[in-house]
Amino acid sequence: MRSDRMPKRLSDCRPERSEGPLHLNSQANTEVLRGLRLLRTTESTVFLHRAKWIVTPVLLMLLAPMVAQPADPDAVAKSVGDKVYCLCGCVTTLNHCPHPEAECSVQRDMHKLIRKDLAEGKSENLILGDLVLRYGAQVLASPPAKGFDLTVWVLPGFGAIAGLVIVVLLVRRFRKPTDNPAPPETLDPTLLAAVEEEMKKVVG
Amino acid sequence: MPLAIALATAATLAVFVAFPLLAPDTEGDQLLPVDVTPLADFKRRRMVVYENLQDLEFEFKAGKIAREDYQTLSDNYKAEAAGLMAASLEAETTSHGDAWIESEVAARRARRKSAPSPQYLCPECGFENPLPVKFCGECGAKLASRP
Amino acid sequence: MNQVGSVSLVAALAFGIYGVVAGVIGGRLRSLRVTRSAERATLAFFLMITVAVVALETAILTDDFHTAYVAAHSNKDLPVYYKIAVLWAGQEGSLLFWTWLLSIYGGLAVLINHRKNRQLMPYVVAVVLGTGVFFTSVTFFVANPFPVLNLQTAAGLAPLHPPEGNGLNPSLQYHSMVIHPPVLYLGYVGFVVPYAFAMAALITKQLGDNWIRVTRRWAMVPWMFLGVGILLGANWAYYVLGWGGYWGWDPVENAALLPWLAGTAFLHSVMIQEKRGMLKVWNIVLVMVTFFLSIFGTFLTRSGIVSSVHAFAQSNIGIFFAVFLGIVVFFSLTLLFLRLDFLKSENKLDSVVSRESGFLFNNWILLAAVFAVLWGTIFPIISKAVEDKTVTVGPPYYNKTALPIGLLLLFLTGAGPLLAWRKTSFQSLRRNFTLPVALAVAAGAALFFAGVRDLFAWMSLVLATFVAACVLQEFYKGARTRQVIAGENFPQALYNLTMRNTRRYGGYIIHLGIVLLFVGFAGLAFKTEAKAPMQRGDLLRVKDYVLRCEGITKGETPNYLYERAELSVVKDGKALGTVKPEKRLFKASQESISHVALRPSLAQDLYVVLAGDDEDTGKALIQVFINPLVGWVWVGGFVVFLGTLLAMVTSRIEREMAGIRRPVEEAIEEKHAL
Repeated sequence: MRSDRMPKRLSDCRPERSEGPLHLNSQANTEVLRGLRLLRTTESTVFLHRAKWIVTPVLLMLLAPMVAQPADPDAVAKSVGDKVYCLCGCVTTLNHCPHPEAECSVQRDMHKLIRKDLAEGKSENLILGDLVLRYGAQVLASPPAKGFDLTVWVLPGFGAIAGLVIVVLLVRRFRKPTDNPAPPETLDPTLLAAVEEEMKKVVG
Repeated sequence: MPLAIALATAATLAVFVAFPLLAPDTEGDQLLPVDVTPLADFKRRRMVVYENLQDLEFEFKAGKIAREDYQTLSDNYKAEAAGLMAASLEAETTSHGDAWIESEVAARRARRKSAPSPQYLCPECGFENPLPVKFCGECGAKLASRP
Repeated sequence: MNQVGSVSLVAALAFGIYGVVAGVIGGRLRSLRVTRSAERATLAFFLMITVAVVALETAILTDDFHTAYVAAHSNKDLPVYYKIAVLWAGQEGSLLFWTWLLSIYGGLAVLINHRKNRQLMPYVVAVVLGTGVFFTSVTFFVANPFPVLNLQTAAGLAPLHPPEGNGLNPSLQYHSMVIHPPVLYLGYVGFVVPYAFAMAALITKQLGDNWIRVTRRWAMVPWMFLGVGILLGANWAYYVLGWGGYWGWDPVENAALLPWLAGTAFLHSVMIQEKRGMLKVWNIVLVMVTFFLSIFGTFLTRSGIVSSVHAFAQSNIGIFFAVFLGIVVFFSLTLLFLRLDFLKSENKLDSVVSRESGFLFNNWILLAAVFAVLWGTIFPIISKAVEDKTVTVGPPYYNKTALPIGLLLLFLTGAGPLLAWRKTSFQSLRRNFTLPVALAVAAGAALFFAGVRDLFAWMSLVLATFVAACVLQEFYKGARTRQVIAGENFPQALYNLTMRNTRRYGGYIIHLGIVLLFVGFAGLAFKTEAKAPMQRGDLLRVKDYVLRCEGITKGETPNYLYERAELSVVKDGKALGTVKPEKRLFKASQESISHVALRPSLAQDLYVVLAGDDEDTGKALIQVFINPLVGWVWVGGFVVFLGTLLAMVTSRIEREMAGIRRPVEEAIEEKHAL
């Protein structure tokens, strides 16, 4: 039953390209900037321009810790363990299986396979491929980003952008046509006096 | 035995629930009082504006707000309060507000067979106590003494 | 006892249905008598459910294994406090318990509000009891906890009285597990009250800010319970599951997180309506979404539709929940559309750079988080339906979606409160942001040079500095100003500042708690772990700790057998005493579980697990985690809790507002004496 789900070639079952969280963060940032640009009011552009002394250091800080991680076998094993589910029935990732390792044969076998692959010098993606070959695609803790499964990765981004557009539209619709309030002189002075009096009474 | 207790509890509660419907009907079917009336709503919204003004003042003094912002916003809020005050006065002075009260009063008269006993109605705050009381359950004022 | 339980459920059901009908009639006729009767039905409903709960607890505490539920979830030697918890250990009991909490909330809402919001009450009663009727029906007809065990014999059915029960799931036998489910349920259930008030406001067309002011605390209480419940669950996972962490993006964890996020959006968004009379439709939608998600969460948790570490009994209650959810959505949306005309905004937005738009962006991010988490949680179901393929959506997905959203949210936590209502000019902005931004930049540089390379951890800590500086600056500036205005000394000024507007400053304290939570989350990046088979005399070095095995012992208690390792700990040449991780085999259920040994400190936890016997060497397998900063998660949760309590204290401003509750009612009564 599992065999029909098993991918034909290794490349088919390769999980999504592993990319640092930086990628997404900068993406999120451009989304914010794009959203702000959408406003296209003079005020907001001027504001962004004047706010560059805030924005620039923040962006610089976002980019600062771009440092490659060295590939050490323990780290790879750990990273793989975070990306696959333990199939003993515990419904957690391999690293998180609540069962004592010595008593959970599935967990032990998966660890063994990973150790063996590591000893052969295989990369993280190859190890994940081996695990998929052995256990089927549902071993992956998140589906690869292709086919229908792509939606799981894409939709939250679309949702967030759609939400942002709605917020921006709302902001535009809610905005007053002018920024200038009615100057107090044009108001009925007796009304203002009544307001001042009531306020004194209330605020004390 | 426990079963009998459970059944007795259920029966007692049934009486408790039905009581307001079965109790002797001296007052007629009273109308549910209004929680927020148009005037109250205006007044409350003015209160909110005063609160905002107070906060604004405080934040200005705390140095959080630039002087020009403070000036514009303060004028804005005052204009808002004045607008609400005007609406409120209009509702009070013109027939519109009175008509609302009259219709409310008429609806109550229609439901009521007799005037509410002074034992229920607080002369101070207007609260209608659910039971005959000596002191108002709402503001604590003394009510008309029992006959 | 079983008959008592069933009879009370039927009686409760009757009172519930009566209450719904009487509420609707009372509301439509504006009849005080019928409404009072409906209100009393809420209390009767509560008391009858209470009798059912007492009946089940009696059966549990007296070891009545004739009752199937007790036989399945309890055993004789279970300590009493775990026996009490048996009530919510299984499907049937949980539903009864859920209904009971609902009836408590309903009863309290009636007792507290029936004199203040008399027009809303009939419909509030109808909505609360409508939900109650649904849960009572499911409890009675589908997942009844009161059936007894019978034996099929030649002569017919004979009552079966097993001498011993199956026992409580061992992973639930931990102290925070006794309070985690009730607290979490108090969170889930409680959102029914704000929802009911919102619906009542829609029905009666009283769509000012009254319902929002009334339900503010009714939304904060469940929000607080849900948050605390989630953290208790995380704490339980950390102490019991033995993998060295506390959050695994499990569907059931997500199910609790969803209404919490939506509730957070609601609690922020209502402030715009109170202060500026805007977003009326949006707030109704948010309270609907929150209520919907809490029922949905119960559904996910209880139906077994998604596989989860919380492997509860799977059952057929899913379809009933789906139908109920459908009814809730249909009813809510129809009502909303019928009332759109009454929900006009009272004000306009003055400027894009203002507190109002800050709140809008906060809402956007929170709902984006809700959407991302919800989508990941239900995707396996969708994938099954669309492609007939079993996929799992786990931590890698959430780490890429939820973490960036979380960081953005953390930023707004600090920046939002610095924006003024209506309009904030660049000058105002500069006054407020200079210090926090400078501190954050300094912290960023310092962390970078200290060797922090993990992007998420680095950003968390930088933003944490920023937010902490923002919040503390608010307190400091406020107190200084009061000092000048009122001539108070600094502590006095700080106290009065806080008490005058408990909601704002309580909120700030909650924000500080969130900062601490993120500090704790950042610690995950610096986790170290090691694993080794050990026997007496073996050494294990992890980071700056050295552990020496002093021996392995075996023994038993009435409830379980255990294997215990004793390890002495030395850190930087200083002896820290011994840790004793255990593995326990529970007699009744024949399931085993690790009992983690922990040396917590705010800097880092030493977390030691006895993972069984190594199959090659036969030695005990010892697993050690060094978890930096985890303690701040619990501290942060506690700070959030305290901040919420503070925000619920009645402030001076509120007392002033309460003084003008019914001026026109006075006018009617005074001017036109009837």
